[in-house]
Amino acid sequence: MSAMFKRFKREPLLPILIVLVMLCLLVFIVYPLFQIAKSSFVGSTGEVGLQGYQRVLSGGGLFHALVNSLVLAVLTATLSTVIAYVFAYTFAYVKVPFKKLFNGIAILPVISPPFVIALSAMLLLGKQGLITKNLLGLENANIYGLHGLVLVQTLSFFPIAFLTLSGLLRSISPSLEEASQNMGASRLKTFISVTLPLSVPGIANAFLLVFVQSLADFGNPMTIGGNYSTVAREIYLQAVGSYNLQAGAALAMVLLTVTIIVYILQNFWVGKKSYVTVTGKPTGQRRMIESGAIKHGLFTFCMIMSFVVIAFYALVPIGSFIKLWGINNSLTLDHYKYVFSIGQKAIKDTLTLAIVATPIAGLLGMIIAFLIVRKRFFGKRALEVISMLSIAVPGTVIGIGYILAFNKAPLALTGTGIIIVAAFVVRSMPVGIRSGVAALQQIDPSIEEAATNLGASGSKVFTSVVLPLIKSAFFSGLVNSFVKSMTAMSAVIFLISAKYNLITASILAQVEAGRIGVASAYCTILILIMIVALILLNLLVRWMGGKERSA
Amino acid sequence: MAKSVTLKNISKAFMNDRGEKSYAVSGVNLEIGEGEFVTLLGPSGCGKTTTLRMIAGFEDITEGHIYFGNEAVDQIPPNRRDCTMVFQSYALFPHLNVFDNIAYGLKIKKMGKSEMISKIESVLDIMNLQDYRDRMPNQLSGGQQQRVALARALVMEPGVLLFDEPLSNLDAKLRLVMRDEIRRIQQQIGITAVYVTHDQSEAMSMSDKVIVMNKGKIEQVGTPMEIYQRPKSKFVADFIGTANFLEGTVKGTEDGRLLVETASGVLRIRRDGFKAGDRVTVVIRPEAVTLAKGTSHQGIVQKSVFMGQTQEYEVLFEGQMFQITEHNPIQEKVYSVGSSVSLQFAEDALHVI
Ligand SMILES: Nc1ncnc2c1ncn2[C@@H]1O[C@H](COP(=O)(O)OP(=O)(O)O)[C@@H](O)[C@H]1O
Ligand SMILES: [Mg+2]
Repeated sequence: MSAMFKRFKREPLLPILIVLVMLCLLVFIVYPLFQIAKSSFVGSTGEVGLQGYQRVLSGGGLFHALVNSLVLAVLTATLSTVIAYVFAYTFAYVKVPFKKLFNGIAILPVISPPFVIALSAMLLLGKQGLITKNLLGLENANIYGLHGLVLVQTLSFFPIAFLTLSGLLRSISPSLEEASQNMGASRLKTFISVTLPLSVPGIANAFLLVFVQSLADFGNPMTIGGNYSTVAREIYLQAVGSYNLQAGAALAMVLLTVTIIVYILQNFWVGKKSYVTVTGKPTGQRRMIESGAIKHGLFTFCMIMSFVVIAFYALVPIGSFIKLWGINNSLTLDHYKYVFSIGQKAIKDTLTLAIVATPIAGLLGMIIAFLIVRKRFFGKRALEVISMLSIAVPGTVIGIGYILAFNKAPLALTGTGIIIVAAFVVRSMPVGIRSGVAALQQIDPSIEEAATNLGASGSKVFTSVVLPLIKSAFFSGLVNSFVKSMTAMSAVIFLISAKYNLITASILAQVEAGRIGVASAYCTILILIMIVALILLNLLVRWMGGKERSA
Repeated sequence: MAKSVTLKNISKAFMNDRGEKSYAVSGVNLEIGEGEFVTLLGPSGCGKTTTLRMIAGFEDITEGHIYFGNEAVDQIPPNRRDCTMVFQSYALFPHLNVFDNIAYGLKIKKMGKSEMISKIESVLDIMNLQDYRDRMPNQLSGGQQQRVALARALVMEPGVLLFDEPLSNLDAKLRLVMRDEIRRIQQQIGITAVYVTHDQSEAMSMSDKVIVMNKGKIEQVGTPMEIYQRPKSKFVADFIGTANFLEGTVKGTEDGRLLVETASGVLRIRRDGFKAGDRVTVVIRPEAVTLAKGTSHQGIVQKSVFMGQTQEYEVLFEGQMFQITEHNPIQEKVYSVGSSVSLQFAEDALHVI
């Protein structure tokens, strides 16, 4: 006790900061989740019971949604992992041109709004689709449903798996494979007996990552799910449409449980199984495959996939200038005129709220990372668990949680900008925490002690030493927060009001109304805003970097 | 202004994995005079760093008090203690150049610009760093980084200067150079220095006073010569240099010398504080032994290595292995492996514990 008091006297700001951070996490993450858990047991008339769970598990519509979601997630994750593995293998083992292009494609889904691929799938493969109608002459082609979802989700999520797998494959020491070949194994035998077993943890990791993404996906099922209902969509409809909050909450609890299980699997089971010690620098130089059928096959596959992805992204801006896709293909600016008159408010609101949320999420993420890595205090473990938990919570769960938690006193925030900003922050902060933690773990703690030793107070150490050293993590956190906030939908769709409208919600409304052109125009504008913002942020980093002369 | 440092009954307990208290430092009492260069010496894990970090204020003190001069500093936060530290890893700020690294503490003090610049200039001069003032830390060699770390600590003109194994990351040659340089600068400025190392030759060559630590406790405090020639325990004798031990019993005194009966006869050793009948251990340094031709029941050479200035032997004697060093070896007087030798002890160089 006296030791704690001593510490308090030494760093009076720290405990205050810790309490504030904890309070934020409790109010905006734990409390809403608690409200979901509570509501899942309470019926509309106030009686306590398991009716909610009964409805979910009894074989009705909600149960179907659950099964559907799992089927979709398994299909998408399998397909994505296979494609990603081929990409990653090619990237790490084969000497092919255009590697920059492959890398660029891997970044696309991270910055793209959730609808782009779904929209172009409609434009390409829908009833009026370029391929289905114009090329193949099919009448009444139907992209809506499981097959459409698998296609769209795979194209959207395989790059995430690619990033995981290419990191892993690059860290496999070439000497292991050389040893195998040296002992007489052929290339194929080496691949099967060395490379593949070594990549199993990475494959499992990639699979689980995509699995969770698919499970939590809201945008794609809403746009091209058709009659194929999924959990995320059902939660929304239960909560917003039919006002059966108990069933919605119960379903959210089930979804949350599944994602947390997967998250734990990923971090503890897969993490332990990893044989590859990642030292950060690739060990030795790998001799690349330079010729032969393998090279040509892999290269062709990657080129075709890249072309497909690019085509899907390119189609949306094109579609935004077409009067009525497939029926009246004349060029027009009408959609943009519409967006700039009716949609002006959504654009302005989204930008304003995202700009408010970005620095909050960025700073909070770095502060939490700092507390986790560097400070010892009561409740640290809880802070760690809560902030990492927030990575695993699907957006729709946050959404329904916020409705339940903030629509009555003392925290009547429904309809305010605060609640949307909070959702933006909670959704985008975990990535910042992760990169902050990674960056801080690289920094020798005695550098901070040196600053203290030379007279710097706790806050001075943070601003003059820690922050400059994790600057790049901080800025990438900012970029991530901005992008995530601009393109957020699954959580905030529950929270929009007459006072605050969002671009993503407007796009969804347009899609539902069948105005694909307008939706495409919105998407295009959203992408443009983000490109401009990214350039500005980069310039800002460069400008700050010039002053600091980063080493 | 150099300050004295006093540690009164200092202990430090950490919680181990099972939640039990375990003491890293216990009951340390120490007085370090103004301008003194004192070394904490001991094997890895004996609590040197922990002691130093308590002085700096990075670790809370479990029990006891620390004084700078007459002032108790236990309650003073680390950023307001009048001491600066040179870290093992140097801990230079990687985002600041040499000049700004050195200026960091002065800026926090809000020192006036002209005064600050003149102080930095003079420390750059002392440390021979003028040519590197605009370099970033990662553009410096290990030795230069070391100098910057020292300059950054010195420029603060602290009451006490702390070092935690500052030379352990340098190559052997540079270590010797920096050793002399640190000592020279310390003497020139007259600052109080507390220096942690596990390298006994470093401790011996730099310090006014060596504090030998073992398992969180002080084993012995003394000048380098005292520590080497009159160790208080087997541990100290063994840790500082090489020592051979011979068990014996005190028979009495004669001409102020102790008569100690050992397996190799009676030795006459200058020492007091023992009485007849005491069981003692005689500490014999390798250079206190000379070899002569002998018979096989006396000693047999097991190893004989020519080192240039010396010939190093291992001799099986009385059932144990003796380390023996002969200076200025000449061909005719070198004993080869398997030779029978007798051992003669320079009695003035022996010590009893
Ligand atoms: N933060 C800590 N938590 C727990 N035990 C520690 C901590 N720091 C040091 N120790 C323990 O205290 C003992 C002394 O450590 P240290 O002072 O670093 O030794 P030295 O510097 O002499 O090598 C060691 O056994 C070490 O494991
Ligand atoms: Mg140490």
